[in-house]
Amino acid sequence: MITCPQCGTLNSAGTEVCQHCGAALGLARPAPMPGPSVAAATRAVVVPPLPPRSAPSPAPEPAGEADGEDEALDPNHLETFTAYGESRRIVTVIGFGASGKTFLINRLREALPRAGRWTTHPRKQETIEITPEGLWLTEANPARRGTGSPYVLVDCSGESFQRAFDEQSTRASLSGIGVRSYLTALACASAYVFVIEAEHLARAAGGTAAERAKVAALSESFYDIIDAIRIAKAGLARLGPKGFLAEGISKDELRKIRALPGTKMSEPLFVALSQADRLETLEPLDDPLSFGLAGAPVLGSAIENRFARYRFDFISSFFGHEGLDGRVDYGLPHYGVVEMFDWLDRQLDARRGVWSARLAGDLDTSWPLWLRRRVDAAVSPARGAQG
Amino acid sequence: MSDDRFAKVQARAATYAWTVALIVMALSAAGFFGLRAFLSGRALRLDGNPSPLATSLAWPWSDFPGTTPTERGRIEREFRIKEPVLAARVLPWSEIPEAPALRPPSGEARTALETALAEVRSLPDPAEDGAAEDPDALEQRIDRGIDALGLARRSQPDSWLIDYDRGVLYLRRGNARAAVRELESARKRVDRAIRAASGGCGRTTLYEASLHTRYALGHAQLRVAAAAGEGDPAGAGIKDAAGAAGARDAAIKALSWALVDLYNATDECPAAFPQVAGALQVFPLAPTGLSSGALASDLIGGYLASPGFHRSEDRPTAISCNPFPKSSRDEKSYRDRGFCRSLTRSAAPFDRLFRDRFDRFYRGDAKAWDEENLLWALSNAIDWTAENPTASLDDPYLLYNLGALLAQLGEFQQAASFLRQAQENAAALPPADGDRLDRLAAACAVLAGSSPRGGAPARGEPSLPRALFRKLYPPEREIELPGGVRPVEFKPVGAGFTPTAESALDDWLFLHLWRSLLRKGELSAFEQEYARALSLKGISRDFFVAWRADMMAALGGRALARAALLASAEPQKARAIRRFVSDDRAFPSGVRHLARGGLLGEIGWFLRTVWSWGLELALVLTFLAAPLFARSLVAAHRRAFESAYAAGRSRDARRGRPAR
Repeated sequence: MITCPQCGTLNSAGTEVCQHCGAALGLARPAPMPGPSVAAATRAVVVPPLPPRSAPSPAPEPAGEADGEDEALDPNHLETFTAYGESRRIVTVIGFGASGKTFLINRLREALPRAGRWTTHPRKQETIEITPEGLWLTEANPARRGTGSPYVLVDCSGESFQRAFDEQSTRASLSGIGVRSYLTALACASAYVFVIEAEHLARAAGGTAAERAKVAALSESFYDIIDAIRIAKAGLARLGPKGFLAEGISKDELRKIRALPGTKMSEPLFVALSQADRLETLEPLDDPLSFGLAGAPVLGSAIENRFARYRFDFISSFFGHEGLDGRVDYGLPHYGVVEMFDWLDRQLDARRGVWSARLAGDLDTSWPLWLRRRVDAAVSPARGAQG
Repeated sequence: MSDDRFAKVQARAATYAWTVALIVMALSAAGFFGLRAFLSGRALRLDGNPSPLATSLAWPWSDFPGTTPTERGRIEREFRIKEPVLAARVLPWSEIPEAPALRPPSGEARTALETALAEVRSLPDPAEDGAAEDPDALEQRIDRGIDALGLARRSQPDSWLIDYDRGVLYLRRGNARAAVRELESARKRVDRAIRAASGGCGRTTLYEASLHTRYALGHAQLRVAAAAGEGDPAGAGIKDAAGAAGARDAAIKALSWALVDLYNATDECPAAFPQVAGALQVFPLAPTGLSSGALASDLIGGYLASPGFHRSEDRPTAISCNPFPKSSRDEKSYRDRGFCRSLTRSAAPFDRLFRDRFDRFYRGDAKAWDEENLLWALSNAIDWTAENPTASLDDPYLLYNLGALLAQLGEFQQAASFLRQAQENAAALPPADGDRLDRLAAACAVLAGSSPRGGAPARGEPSLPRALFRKLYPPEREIELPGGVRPVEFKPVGAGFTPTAESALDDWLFLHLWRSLLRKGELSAFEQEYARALSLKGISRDFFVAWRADMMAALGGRALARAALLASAEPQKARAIRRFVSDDRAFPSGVRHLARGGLLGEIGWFLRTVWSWGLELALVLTFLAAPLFARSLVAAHRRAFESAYAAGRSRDARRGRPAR
């Protein structure tokens, strides 16, 4: 991808002129990686084209507090900051390793253009590696001008993500540039997709204490991540990406925000219960909320406490996929993937302060949830807390 | 997982949401009507029961409601009560007067005058002019009389008698301007003669000549004023309303000075009038037989027809009638002394009405000043009825004009009584005057709440107001309203009235009923019946709405006056009265503002009432919003929690797509 020096639009690698403003891109290419300083990093306008799946950008290494600011930044992080600066809609897909995020993104790359409303870039990958690292960006633009807003889908590698946040428990602060860079990129998002394997939750709901503990630990980890994102969002709003990268956050701030959670995040969250095809025996799988809360009550509490609007649903990006070599068959059916994107799009289109949108559940999930709790004991908070 | 779990949950959610919505709707509806009932129960009302408010107001008021301005306006418009009927007995003097000052100076002049008077004597009574078989021949005979008097004038150029008789004949001939010219000349001659003569019985004939002259001059001036308004040639030379008003004022003054001459004549020589105890009794005057009652009647009639009349342009100020105001021989002095004289007399029902107006007139009340003509009419009515017991009055014109005066003042019951008496003495009235009398008598009887006397047969179809009244209160059902009030119909006035006039009069069917309710103190019942009547198609809505506004304004004004009276001694009661007037929307807004007492009162009233409006509005909005909210919430529940995955799977299953 090449960022236009004139208007900041992301252009496909190898493009001579900006697709948005027509400015020549040649002058800006090839440029060296941004310099070590944070200021230089946030001013970077040239990034290399997205590498193929087999060559992901490396996850930033954890760095010490003293040397953090000298660390180089991933170009895709910089692109995320640029998209944020341009007020583009950023949907960040997070989740732990092997949850199926990259499969989901690739399915969107393939399925969105097929419906005719969207064009995506880059193209779908025929082979999806199991352990990718770093941030991976996908553009989804309206096929026709004026029919929607452009999106940047950020696929946050589960492993990198995990590793970065694991630093929290081993380091005194989150001020390392790598962690900060991840956090900043995550905080730039307009919406989130949290991908978790449906099978995990099914096992936790009906399985052993150890399995439940494992999911609970995952949920606690999610809690921490969300709280870190919330702090980062506040910092981002206050300082901008450059400032926040320079300042970072401390453990103290993290503790405080846990104790005094404040207002909920307004960004919509889609909890994607992935690889649902593995639960074929449990079909019809028509009630994702009760399924999610039964399997991960702590996760449910975290979501309810931290997000104003959210939705649980099963997805299957490649229904029946069994290949272990990374090759995928796009002819396999997929369920819930495009609908997930449509839900996010509708949520981001919903106008704040409009009662009809609030009434329709587009701005606040607590209203339909209130109704749900009146008629369904399976989703009561008490039950969730006990789980 | 059970099959179709979400469908069941969604159904339960819908049931729950709609149940809650229905409960909320029921509660808000119950709350709304409960609040209404609570507020209504808490509102101060007058319903005939002895409530604290009624006690504070000394309600009900037996004389309430009186005739409202709206009612009076309609009566004046429909029944022409401001148009009096004048006797206008302007008669020629057909004998040579005995007074030396009025006699011809020589035998030649006397002969010529006798010849002319023979022509005058040969003319029929003016009362029969309307029935003359050959009006042209009559006119020729009148012209011959005028000419004969003209010939006589050659030998006697300064004769009062010739001027007077020529003026009378000109008036009879319809030439009011010429009549005024001749009669003015006659007036000057007789005035000079009176001034030259010494007081006592020697001036009796001169006074009689003077009063005849002024009476005739008054009528001639009235004719000029009327003709000016109608573009008649008789009014030529009078170009504007002010000129017409001037002629009318001159007429009134001439008529009133005719009475002064009568007083002077009887005062200076009572022996000349042995048949009467005083000047204010009805008796025939020599030598024409003109009734003194006609003088009084036509003067009262003149006043009734002269709104805006002022004897003196000096605005009245407070006066004392004990002792009498001194005479300074000017119009103001004449006015004040005349009114004081009437104030000392007793003559029901006029004295009460006169005193009320007298007080307002001398207090500087603008309306009383504008209606000075009515005060004069009342003053004369008192003077004449004080000296002549009502039962003894037999002059139909005087009785008619006294009735018309009372009708103009809204005293329909008394008016009806005088008019009935006039009808009993109406045998000699010309047919046109008789019709006027019958119509006004019928209207006043109805307005007084009784049925008109016999007369014209009823029409086949009832008028629209009567039909509507019967629709609301069918006579066969013998309905009894609160306070024991029964809807009663008066007799239709029948074919003597135009259908429009009959309809107008039948509107009083409703007014009588409402008056009866109000006199029983049943304000709430009145409001109910009023609302029922106004819901009928074809009802005289504008008239009734204006009548109610007048009535409520009068009620509010009187209630506030009562509150002011109680304010210092019983402030609690005064406050309750003010609150009643301030809060009841039936009162006109001006009266309500007055009851609130300025800006601070308005703020207090707003704070006191805003909560109920706010609550009512909130309940209405809740009622409307509940189903919308339930519908939206159920839809939001589906959108938030329904699985798109399951829907996709189900869709594919229906298409027969294999699972794996």
